[in-house]
Amino acid sequence: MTSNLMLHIKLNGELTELGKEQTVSEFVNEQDFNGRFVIVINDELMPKSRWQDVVIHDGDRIDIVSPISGG
Amino acid sequence: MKASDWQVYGQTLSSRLFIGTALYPSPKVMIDAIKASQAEVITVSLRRQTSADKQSGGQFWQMIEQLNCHLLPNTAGCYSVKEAVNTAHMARELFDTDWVKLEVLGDSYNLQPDPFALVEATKILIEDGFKVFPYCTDDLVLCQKLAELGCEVLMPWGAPIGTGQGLLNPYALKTLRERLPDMTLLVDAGIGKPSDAVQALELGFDGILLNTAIAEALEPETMAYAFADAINAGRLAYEAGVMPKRDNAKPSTPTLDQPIWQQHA
Repeated sequence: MTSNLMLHIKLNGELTELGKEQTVSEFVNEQDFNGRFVIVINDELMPKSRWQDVVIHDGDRIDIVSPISGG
Repeated sequence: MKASDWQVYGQTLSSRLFIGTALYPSPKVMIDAIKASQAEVITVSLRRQTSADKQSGGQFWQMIEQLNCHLLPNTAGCYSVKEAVNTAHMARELFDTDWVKLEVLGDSYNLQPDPFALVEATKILIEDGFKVFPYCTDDLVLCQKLAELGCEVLMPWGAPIGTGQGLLNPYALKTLRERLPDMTLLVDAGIGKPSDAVQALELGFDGILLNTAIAEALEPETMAYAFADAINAGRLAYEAGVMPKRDNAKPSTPTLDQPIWQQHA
């Protein structure tokens, strides 16, 4: 069950407002992230298989992690 | 002539060079150098997006996809077991591979691996189903512990990351080869020039992981060719069997039936 209350989250370290409570899946569609990435919520990896079930809460820290070069 | 193929966690490889994807002057130079190196394994990493590079992950991914290499994600920059384990799990999901180059650093001055944390993180990750490639020091007992935990590959440093100092302790590396005869061993870090790689392969190391020596060469593509040749030469020399060193000179030309006036006492 989701509500329409405004949420304040930290997205990639920056304060961000979400119009309503939503699942990770809805959040990803709304944000329109590009390329290959994984989602980490409050330092915990959020596998794609759970995106539809997990709801984002006020105060969550969400990080979008992408490939970069490495040695 | 090409040196023999080898196996890494059940994967047959032809090239004995693992190459990094960082520090190149441009994406094109990176692609050209990696192709010239003939490497079949490339190291990659991951990081949180910033607002400025929201799309950079996609661009980098497209570049490395075209190389069609095996990916070896690293846990670079991790200083604790928890950080390294979490990063490894993110990497597995992101790159769709259970290979991980496990770095758990203990000192920011020389980027030396923390052997105690490395053992702990290795144990956790192997239990979690990872195929761990630990970046470690050349300490024999540490390497034995990592082998006991189930690592099939060990990657001791030749010298600190990015220094290009070559093999600072050949004795320790030689000891690892002798004491762990069945272990797949790569020198990771510190290689500066092709002759360093030759030395490691002649010692019996199975391969080399490097990045800076090629990426920061004046001409990375040309240096990649040089490393590919050097690594093949070093391995061929090991397979051929290097002659033992002697203290005394021994003539290479036969002296039997030599004219009497040329013989010396």
